[in-house]
Amino acid sequence: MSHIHLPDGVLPLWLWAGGYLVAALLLALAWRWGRRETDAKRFALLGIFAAMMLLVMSIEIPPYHANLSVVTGIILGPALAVLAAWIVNVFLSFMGHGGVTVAGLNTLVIAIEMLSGYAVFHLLRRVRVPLAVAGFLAVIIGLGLGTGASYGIIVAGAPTINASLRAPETTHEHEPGPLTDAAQGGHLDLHRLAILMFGFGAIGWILEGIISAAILVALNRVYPDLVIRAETARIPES
Amino acid sequence: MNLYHIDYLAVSGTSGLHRTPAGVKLCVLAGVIAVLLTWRTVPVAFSTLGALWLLAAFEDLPLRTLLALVSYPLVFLAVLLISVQHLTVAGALPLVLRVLALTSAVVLLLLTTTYPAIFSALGRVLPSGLVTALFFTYRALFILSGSLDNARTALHLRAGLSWRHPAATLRNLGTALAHVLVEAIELSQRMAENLTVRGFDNRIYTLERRP
Repeated sequence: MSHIHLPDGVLPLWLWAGGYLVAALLLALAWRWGRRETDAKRFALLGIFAAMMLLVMSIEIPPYHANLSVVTGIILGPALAVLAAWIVNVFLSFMGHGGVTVAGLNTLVIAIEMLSGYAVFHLLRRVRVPLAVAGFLAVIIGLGLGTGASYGIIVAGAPTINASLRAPETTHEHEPGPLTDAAQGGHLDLHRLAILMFGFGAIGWILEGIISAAILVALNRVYPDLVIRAETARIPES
Repeated sequence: MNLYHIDYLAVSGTSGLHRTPAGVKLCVLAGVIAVLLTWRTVPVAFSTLGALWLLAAFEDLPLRTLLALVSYPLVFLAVLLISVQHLTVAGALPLVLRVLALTSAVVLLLLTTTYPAIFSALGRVLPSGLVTALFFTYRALFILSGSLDNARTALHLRAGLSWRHPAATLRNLGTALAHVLVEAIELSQRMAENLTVRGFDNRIYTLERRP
């Protein structure tokens, strides 16, 4: 799970407000593109997959939890997947699991996972890579890109986070000369954060990759049309 | 994250906060967020946090549940704070208090307002299709929750989750989740057919509860 688990009050206003703006534009595009699909059947499938993502998050594989974002992206297709990302984040923010203000940014991060996972899966299936391998690699690449986006967001917000961490009494405004690191107060070590997010995250991507590949293989046995449709639905006929 | 319990508390409560319209509570929540993000000081965060918890105690809300939900984001904040060099208590305190206050405000809304009431209020500003999708998800959550519990029981009865054989365990978990998904897809198709029969027009209509 690579979306930002940051609560409210950590990131700067311009960043989370910008996240809302870009997410709103993406949602508007997805809504317009997916309009032909918003019949009762699609709504029901969208609701089921969004709910499944939320419920799967309660299955903890400490210190990780799955979320099935890439599987959802593959099955629902780009337009409905973006809507599912938004729905999941609305629910999560009202549960205190991720802030209300960062819901826009989290929608973007999960949408990146879904869309990139979807694209990679189709690309690999076109060159006849086996379903399980294609599913596994789509999850690894999707979650890797999602984590990259999360890291980028935190890097962009790092100056504000650092300013928040500097307690007034550690600024020593009246003392002459350069300040030591300790005197300047805490600051985010982006190298350490990268190790945490990408190092430990990679273990999670592999776990989720295996689970997702098993899901796709099992779903393909019962609903081949669902996975095959997902593979061919948006590929233009040649 | 026990959704049943949270939903039960929101639906069955009779406190003044429960009776307050969802739209009013959402506006107050927006106000609290604006105050806490504008004045990022310890006194503002501490007094807001104190006021919210006093309100919760006065309204006889379950403080243990409130504490459990509020402390959840602190775990994630801790991951961020691990990445901080030269972290001091004085530096971390404003951030921790602000996060606690903001989360308390959101959780108070959650414990005293049903999801349908929140979605109805959001329906005044959001396109009806998005709100309909939220309602579908809410309904699906409770339908799927039972299936997931059954899958969990089946997994434990068969082999459980053993980390001596991680690949096999993960594959079993994936197969169990696929089983739930197969059931879920069937349910969604049945739900869609029922809605079509009832004349569904891509919109869910709700009745507002009178205070």
